[in-house]
Amino acid sequence: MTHEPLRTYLRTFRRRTCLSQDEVAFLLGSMCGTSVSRHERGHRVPVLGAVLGYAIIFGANISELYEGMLGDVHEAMQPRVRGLLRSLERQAKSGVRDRKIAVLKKLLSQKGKAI
Amino acid sequence: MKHNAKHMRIVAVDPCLKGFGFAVLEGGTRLVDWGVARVWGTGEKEFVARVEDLLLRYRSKCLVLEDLDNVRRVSRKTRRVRVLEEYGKRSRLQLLRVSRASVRAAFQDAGVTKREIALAISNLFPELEPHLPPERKPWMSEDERMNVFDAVALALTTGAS
Repeated sequence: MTHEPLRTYLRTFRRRTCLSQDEVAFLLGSMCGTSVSRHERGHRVPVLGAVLGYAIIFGANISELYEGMLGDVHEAMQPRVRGLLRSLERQAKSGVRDRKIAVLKKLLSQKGKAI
Repeated sequence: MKHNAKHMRIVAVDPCLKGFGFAVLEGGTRLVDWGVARVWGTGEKEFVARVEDLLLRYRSKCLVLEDLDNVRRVSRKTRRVRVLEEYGKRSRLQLLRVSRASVRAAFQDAGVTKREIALAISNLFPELEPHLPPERKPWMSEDERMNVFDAVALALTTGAS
């Protein structure tokens, strides 16, 4: 059984507001609801302006709207974080290096909660 | 990514004359989607395709249906539930069958009638409140929106048991 979060919960949040796709598109300054439908189905990733618009309309955080995608991005970032951490640990000790290491270790421990 | 029961999705389907009411529940408490899907054709192929589309969209392997084993009358609903059971077995879905008696038992505090259960559900999920049909009079046929509440009741009963 699938236990992953959905890539996007836009449809859930829109249905809660009772707004139609056309109405949301109008609020976003778009021409028709087709683009909203594509965003809801995950066929298209909206531009930043639209993502912020959705967050404003639905009164939700971006991390709530894109829970699955946030997890995917975080997961994809993990090997790079570990690689950078290893290379930093090989460098000479300094305040800046220690700060970077602390940030990277925090990135490894958390799960995309900063947005 | 760590996957847990919080994101386990179940799709409950309640066939009706014009199509089916459905509800997608995540983690047993979060209503992800709901509605009435209209299937115009009388054949079962289109009906199964619509349910399949729903399961694929929500990446669910769990289908909840009403248990109609003790129902003697063969209506379109009964036939469609049987078709979905066959489809579920073929597609290796986890089929959960919930009887009307189990739903009543799960909602015994709310009442026994469909209307009382629907009211309890709309209290639980305020997003469903605008979709609550008006009280049915003896001369009225059942509102198709009631199938959404029936589907949610099936899904919630599965979670409760």
